[in-house]
Amino acid sequence: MTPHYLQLILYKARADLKVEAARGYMGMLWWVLEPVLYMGAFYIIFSVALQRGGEHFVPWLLIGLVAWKWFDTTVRMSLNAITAGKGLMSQVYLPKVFFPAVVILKNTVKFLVTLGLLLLFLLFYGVGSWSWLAIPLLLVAQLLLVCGVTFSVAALTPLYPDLKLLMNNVLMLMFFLSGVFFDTSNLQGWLGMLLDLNPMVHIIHAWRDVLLFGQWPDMFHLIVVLLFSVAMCWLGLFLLHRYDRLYPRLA
Amino acid sequence: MNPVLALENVGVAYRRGRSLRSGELYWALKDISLSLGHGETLGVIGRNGVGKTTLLKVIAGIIAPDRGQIRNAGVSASLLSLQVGFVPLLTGRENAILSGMLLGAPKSRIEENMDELVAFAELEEFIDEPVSSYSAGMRARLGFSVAMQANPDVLLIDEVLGVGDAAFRKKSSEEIQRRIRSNRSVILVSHNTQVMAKLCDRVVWIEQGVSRMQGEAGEVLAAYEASV
Repeated sequence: MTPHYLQLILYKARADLKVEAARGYMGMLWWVLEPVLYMGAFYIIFSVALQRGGEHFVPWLLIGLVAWKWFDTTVRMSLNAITAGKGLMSQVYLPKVFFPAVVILKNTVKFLVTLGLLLLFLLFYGVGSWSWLAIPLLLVAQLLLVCGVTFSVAALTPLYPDLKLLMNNVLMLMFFLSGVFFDTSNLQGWLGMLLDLNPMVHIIHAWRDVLLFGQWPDMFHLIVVLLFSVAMCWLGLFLLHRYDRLYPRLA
Repeated sequence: MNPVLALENVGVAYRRGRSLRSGELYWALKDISLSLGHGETLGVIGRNGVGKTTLLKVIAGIIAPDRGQIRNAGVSASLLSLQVGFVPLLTGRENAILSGMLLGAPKSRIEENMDELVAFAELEEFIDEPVSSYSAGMRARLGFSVAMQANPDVLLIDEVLGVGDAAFRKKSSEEIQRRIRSNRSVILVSHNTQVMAKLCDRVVWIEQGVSRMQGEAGEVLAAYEASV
């Protein structure tokens, strides 16, 4: 990855964000409004309609949703990233990591805006604490996980298009099993162990510990997720490199 | 003469059908050998569908050949492409930077040459307007001017066509010809034997995916025309 391509990824991500903002009348306001509406919908369903909850239920739910959305949106958008770039890659040579990297970058920017809103809400709610110093650590951990899954999925879907449908369902299952709605630590036995295999469970858990409960994250699980993420990054980059000159030939 | 770029018995196969692993192979290029010297203009001639576009993609490094070898003395090669990666909602200036970078030009150089680029495209008053508001001709002029920012060691050209209205077509076609005649190495694909005779030092004749003849332009073109 030369500096030229890094600069190109930055410029393209910036351009895409700008285009998105220019598309509607409300422009960048949507970056704020969209997550508020998204979180609002879940709040109404769970807190008002289903009367779920207990202490801190709303911030607890919102933290899970915000972390999940970063992962989910990025992975979903990467399913088509390389296929959609076919026109471009048959005119000019590009290292194929360009396509998922742009997706990751622009979703990360949007996530940071949402995170800012969430932190404001939590301060207002009155749970700010020193443990927030661990936020950069969680950002890096989740970013690595997002990169690993996104690179791998983006590399594989052009080769196996069925993966697209499969991933849509896998993501939905992961969502319901990620502990966004319920506390996974209450689950015992095989179900608990199964849920533990979902890396997002641990990431969401860590965000709640740090943002809501004023605790340092559980380092053991975070390191396991980190190792998994690095392995996935390696796999994804390896595949993207290996099939670099094959992708333009796929329909 | 040391070639900057040489192809030896290169073949490219596509699979019929949708599968990656099974399906009958179809060789778009069967056995292509050619070499390009520094500063030379090499023409590629052949009828429609003999794989000339595939050949340029192989040389540009966009796709890998399935057999044979490419020897490259460390040079970059890229296709002259117009309006690469244009995004309608971005301004002309932003598109010039984005498209130019996609073509391999450093951002700093595009920004440096921006005034010149805009003047060449005759878009001084519109460069900060979104490209979606441009006419097809304006877009073509911008696309061409940006493409001229690409500066590969080996320029690959698929038909020397001018773009835009009559006046700009003349200007752009002259600009391409000026580049071809300069000391740059060029591979030029065309159907037009007159253009080839005028611009090329040597010509390769490709038929059914095989390089049938390679040599001095006049000689190869005469043989090609005799066979058609």
